[in-house]
Amino acid sequence: MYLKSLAVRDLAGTVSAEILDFDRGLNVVVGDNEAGKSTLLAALRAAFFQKHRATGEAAKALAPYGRQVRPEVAVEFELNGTAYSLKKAFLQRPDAELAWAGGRLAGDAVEERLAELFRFSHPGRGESKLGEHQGAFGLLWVEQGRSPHGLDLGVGKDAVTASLEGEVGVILGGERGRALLAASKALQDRFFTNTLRPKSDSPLKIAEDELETLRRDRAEAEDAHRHDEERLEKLARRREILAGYERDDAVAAAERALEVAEERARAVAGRERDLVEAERELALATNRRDTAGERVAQRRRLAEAADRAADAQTKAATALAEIAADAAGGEAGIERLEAARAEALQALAAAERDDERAVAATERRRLADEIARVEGRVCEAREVEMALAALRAEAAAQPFDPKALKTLEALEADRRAASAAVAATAPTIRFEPEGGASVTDDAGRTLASGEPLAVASPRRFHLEGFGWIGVDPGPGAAELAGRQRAAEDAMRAGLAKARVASLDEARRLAARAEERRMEAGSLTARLQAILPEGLASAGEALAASRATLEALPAADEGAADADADAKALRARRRAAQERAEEAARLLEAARRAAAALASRRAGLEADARHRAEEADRLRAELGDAEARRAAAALAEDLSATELDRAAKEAVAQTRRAALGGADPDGAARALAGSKRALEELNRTVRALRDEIIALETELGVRGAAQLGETLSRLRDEIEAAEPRVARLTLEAGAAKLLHATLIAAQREAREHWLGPIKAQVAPYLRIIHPESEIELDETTLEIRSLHRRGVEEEFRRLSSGAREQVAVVTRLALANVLKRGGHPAAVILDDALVNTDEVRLGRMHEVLRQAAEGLQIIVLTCRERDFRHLGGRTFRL
Amino acid sequence: MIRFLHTADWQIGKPFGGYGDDKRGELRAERFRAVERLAALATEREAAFVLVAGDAFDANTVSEREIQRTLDAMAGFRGPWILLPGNHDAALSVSVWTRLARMRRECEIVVADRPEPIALLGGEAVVLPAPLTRRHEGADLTAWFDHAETPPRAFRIGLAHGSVANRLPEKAESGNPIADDRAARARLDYLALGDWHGFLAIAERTVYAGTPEPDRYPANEPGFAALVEIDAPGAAPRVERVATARYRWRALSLRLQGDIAALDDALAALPAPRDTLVDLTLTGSLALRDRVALQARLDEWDARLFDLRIRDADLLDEPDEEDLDRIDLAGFVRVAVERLREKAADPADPEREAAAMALRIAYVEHARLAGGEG
Repeated sequence: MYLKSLAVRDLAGTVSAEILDFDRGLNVVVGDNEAGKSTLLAALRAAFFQKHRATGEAAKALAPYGRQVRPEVAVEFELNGTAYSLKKAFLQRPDAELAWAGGRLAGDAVEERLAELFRFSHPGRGESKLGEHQGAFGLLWVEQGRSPHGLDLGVGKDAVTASLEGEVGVILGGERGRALLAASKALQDRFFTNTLRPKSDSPLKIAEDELETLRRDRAEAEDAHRHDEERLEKLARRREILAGYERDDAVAAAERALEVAEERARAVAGRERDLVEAERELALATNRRDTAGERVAQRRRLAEAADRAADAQTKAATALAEIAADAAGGEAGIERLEAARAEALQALAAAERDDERAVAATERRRLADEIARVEGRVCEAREVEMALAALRAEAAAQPFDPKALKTLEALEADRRAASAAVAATAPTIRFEPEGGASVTDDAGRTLASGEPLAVASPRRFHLEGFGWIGVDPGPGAAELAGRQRAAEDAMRAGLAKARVASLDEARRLAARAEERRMEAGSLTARLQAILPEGLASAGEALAASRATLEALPAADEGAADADADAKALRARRRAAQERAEEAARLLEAARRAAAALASRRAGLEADARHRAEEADRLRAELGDAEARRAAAALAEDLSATELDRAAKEAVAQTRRAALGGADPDGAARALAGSKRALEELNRTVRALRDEIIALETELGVRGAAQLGETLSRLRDEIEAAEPRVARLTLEAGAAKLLHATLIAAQREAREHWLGPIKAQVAPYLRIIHPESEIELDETTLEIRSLHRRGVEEEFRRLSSGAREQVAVVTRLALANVLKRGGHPAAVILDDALVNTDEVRLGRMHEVLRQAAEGLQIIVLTCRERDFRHLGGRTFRL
Repeated sequence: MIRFLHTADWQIGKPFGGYGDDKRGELRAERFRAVERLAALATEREAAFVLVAGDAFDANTVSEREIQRTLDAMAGFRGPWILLPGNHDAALSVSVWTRLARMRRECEIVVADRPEPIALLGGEAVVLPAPLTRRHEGADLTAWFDHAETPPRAFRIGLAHGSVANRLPEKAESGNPIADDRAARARLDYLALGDWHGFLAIAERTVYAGTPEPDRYPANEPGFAALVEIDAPGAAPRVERVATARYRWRALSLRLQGDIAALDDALAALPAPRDTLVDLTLTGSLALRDRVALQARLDEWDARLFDLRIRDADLLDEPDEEDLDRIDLAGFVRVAVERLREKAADPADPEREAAAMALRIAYVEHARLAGGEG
C-alpha cells in the first residue's frame, strides 16, 4: 500500500492540513505540539475504518470540541497497483466517495469496499472499540506514547489475532478453524478429562459399566442356572435310583434273607442249649469225683501226719536226755574255776601292798630334799630384805625431790642472766680518792678505792671532802636491777621450798638419792632371782611339803635298794593282776555256757511235751476217722465217681462236635448282616424319598424365578450393548484423534507464522541491540522477552527506551510479513521514539531506512532535529 | 376325514433383551395374541384338535403369569390341545408342565409328557408323542413309533420336536435327531414337527409348522400354522399354510457405492414398515456428504419402522475433494484434515477407523458451524 496524499479539514483540533506527496519510502511529518500531528493519524483511521454515518462517541471525537462543523478527510492511496481517491465527511451531512480509474462508489458501498480492501470488519451495533476491528493497522499505526507498551494487544487480542490470521490466512485456519477446534474439544470432553483420562461420566464409560454389569449379571444367572441344572440332574438320578430299588423289590428280598438267617440262628441256639446242659452235667460229675479224691487224699495225709508226730516225739525225748547230761558236767567246771579265781585274788592283794610301800619311801626322800632347798633360799632372801629396809630408812631421813633440783637450776640460770645484764648496762664507778679520803655510800658503807662499782639504781655517795655525789644509771638500768632482784627473790623462795640451804646442797642430796635408787634396784633384782614366788608363797609351800611328809607312812627297815625293789614289785603286781583277770574271765564263760544249756534244756522240754501231745491228738483223730469210714471204702467211692464223670464227658464231647458243625459264628454274622442290610436299605430308600421331596420343593420354588428368561434377556442385552460400546469407543478415539490432530496442526502453523516474524525482526534488532533476539508468545502474540547475549530479560522490565525500540522494530517486521503476503501495510509512527538516546536513535534511523526500502513509513514527530539526518521526505505542519 | 391344526415354537416368555422396554413389551405381548389367533383359527376352521409340537414356552422358568396368560389365550378353542414338551420346555423333573398342571384352564389340554399313545376322537385318531425329558437327546425319540400298537383303522399321527436328519442346514442340527423316513417306517399319516421356526414340509407327510409369530431375523418363512386334513388313514394329507404373524422380521443387506438411493428403494418396498423389524447390513463406501445424508435417512427410517438395527462396520467413508472443498479448508485445519485422510486411507494404520470417524465428525461439525453462521 502506498499512501499518496492526505487532506484534512475541520477535524479535531485542526482547521485544515494537507500533505500532498508522500514518498513511497520514508516520510517525516514535523509539527510542534498541538500542531495536529495526531490528528493526521486519527484522520487516516477515520477515513479507512470509521463509517461516515457513525454517530457514536468515536465519531463525535472527530469534531473540534464544542463546535458544530463538518469534519472532512481526503486520501489518495495505491493498493495492488490501483490508485484510489477516498473522501469522507462526518457528522454534518455525512458523505463518502471512493474513486479509482474505471470505478467510483459512494455512500455505504464505500465502507463495504474499504472493509474488503483492508480486510477488516466494521463493529456491529452496540460493539465498542473501533481499534478491535481495524485489522492489522491497529498494529502498524502507533499512536503517540503507546510504543513502550510493546505490541499492546490488550483486550483486543482475539480480534487482532483473528485479523492477523485473516491476513496470513494461508497459514492459519481462521474463525472456522477455531470453532472446529472448540467443537472437537467439546466432543473430546464428552469422553475425556483435560488430562486425557477417561471421564467417569462419559457415555462410553457409562456404556462400558452397563455392559460390565450385564456380563456380571449374566455370569450370576448362568451360575444359578447351572445350579438348577445340576439340581434337576440330581433329582432325575435320585428318582432313577429309587425306581431301581422299587423295581427290584429290594426291601422284600432283604426281609426274606433276614428270615432265613433268623431260622438258622434259632437252630444254632438249640444246640447251644444242649451243649450247655451236658457241660453242666459234666461239671457236676467232675465235682463229685474231685470231692471223693480229696477225701482219700485227706485220709492219707492224716495218717502220714500221725506217723510223723510219733517220730518227732521220740527224737525230742532223746535230745532232752542228752542235754541233761551236759548240764551236770558244766556245774562241776564252775566250782573249779571259782576256787582258782579266789586264789588269784589273794596273790594280787599281797603284791599290791608291797608295791605301795615302796612308792611311799621314795616320796619321802624327795620331799625332804625339797624342804631343805627352799629353806636355804628363804634365808638368803631375808638378808636382802634387810638391806633394802636400811635403804628405805635412809631415804625417809633425807627426803628430797629430784625434780626440785631442776627448778632450782632454772632459777639459778635466770638469776645469773639478770646479774649479767645489770653488770653489762649499769655505769661502773671507781672511786680513787686522793689522800685516803674515804667514800661512803648512802647506807654509810665505805667503798674500797679502785674497786669498780656498778650502779644499777640511783645512788648517792658521799665523798669525803667533797660532799655527796648522786649517780643515776637511768631508767633502763633501774628496770634491769628490778629484774635482778626478782630473780634473786625467786631463787631464795625456791631454796626454801626445797628445804635446802643452797643449790650445792640440793645437788648433793640429789646425787645421794640417785645412788640409793640404783642400789635398791639391784637388791630388788637379786631378791626376785632368789625367790621369784615371793617370801610368803615360799613359806606356804614349805609348810605344805612338811605336812605331806608327815602324812607319809614310816619307812620300812632295811629297804636299802629301794629303786630296784620297786621295779620288781611293780612287775609282780602286774602279773598277779593278769592272773586274777584271767580267772574271772574263765569263770564268766563257764557260767554263761551253763545258762545257755539251761535255756536250751527248757526249750527241749517244752518241745518234747508238745510233740507228745500232737502225736496223741493225731492218733486219736485217725482212729475216729477210720471208725467213721475206712480208707478202703473211700477209695471205692473215688472209683465210682470217676466212672460217672467219664460218661458225662463223652456226652459233652459229642454235643460240642454237633455245635461246631452248625457254624454259630457264621450264623450270627449272617443274621447281623441281614439286619444291617435291611436297615441300610430302608434308610437309603427313606433318604432318597426325602431328598427327592426336598429337590422337588426347591426346584418348584425356583421354577418361577424366570431364570431362563433372565439369562436369555441378558444375553440379548449384551449382544446389543457390545456394538454400542464399540461404537462409543470408536467415537471417543475419533474425538481425541481429531482434537489432537487439530491442536498439533495449529501449533505447527503458529510456529510457521511466528518464524517469519522473528526472521524479519532479527536484522533490525541486530542494528540497535547486537546479539539479541525477541521471544513472542505464540498464543497472545505479546513480546515476551528479549534475549541479550544469552540472558533472557522480561520485556516489561526493559527500559522505556529499549521497549519502544523493540516494539517499533517488531511492528516493522510484522508489516513486512503482511506485505509479503500481498496485503496492505504501511507503518505510521507518532512520536514513537521519544525515550531513545542519541546513539540508538541513530541506529533506529538505519533501521527505518532499511525498512523503508520495501515499506512506506510515516514518522510523525515534534522533534525535527531528531530526524534531520534520517533522509526521509519532510513535511511541516 | 379329520382336520386338525399343527403349530409349534410359540416361545412364550422370550425376553427380547436386545430391544428397549417399549418394543420388548410389544413383542412379548404379541406372542399371546398369536396364540389367540391360533385358537380362533382352530375354532373357525373346526379343527378336531390342535397339536403344539414343542417349545410352547421359551423356558421352563417362565413366570406363573405368563403360563396363565397362555392358558387364557388358548381358551378361544375348547380343545383338545395336545402340548408336547420341546427342548426349551423339556419335561424335566420340575418344569413348566408340573406348574401348568396346577393352574386354571377353560379348555381341554393334554400334556404329552410321556411316550405313550394318546387316543383322540374316541380312538379314531391316535397321537404318538416323542416328548423331550431333557434339552438334548442323542437318540431318536420317535423310534418307538415304529412298533406302537394302534387300533386298526385309526389315524396314526406322530408328534415330535427336533431336527430331521440330513434335511436341515447343518447349523440347525443341534441334537434331538429325527429320522427323515420316520413317517414311512412308523406308518404315520402325518408327522407334526417343531423346532425349526419356518414353515417347511421337509419330507413325505412330515411338516414343520414353524413359529406362528416370528422372533428372529433369519428368513426361513416363519409366521404360519399348518391346517391338516386327511381323508382316511393312509391317504395323503392336505396341508394348508395359514398366515398367523403380525410382525415381519427382515434381514437386509445393501451395498452403497457412492450412492444412497438403494436404501430408500429397499425400505420403501417393505409392505408394513410399522410392523417390520429390519436388521440392515450396509457395505460399500461413501463420500462424507453422502454418509451424512445417509445418517439423516436412517434416522427417518428408524422412526418409521418398528425397529431398525444397522451394521455398518463395512461401510467405509471415502472423503473426496468435494467433501474437502465443503470444509472451508484454510491454515491448520487443512493440514489436520489431510493428515486424518492419510491415516484413514492407510489400511495398516491402527487408528484408521478412528481417523475415518474423526473426518466425518470434522465434516459434520464444520457443516453445523457453517449452518449456524448462515
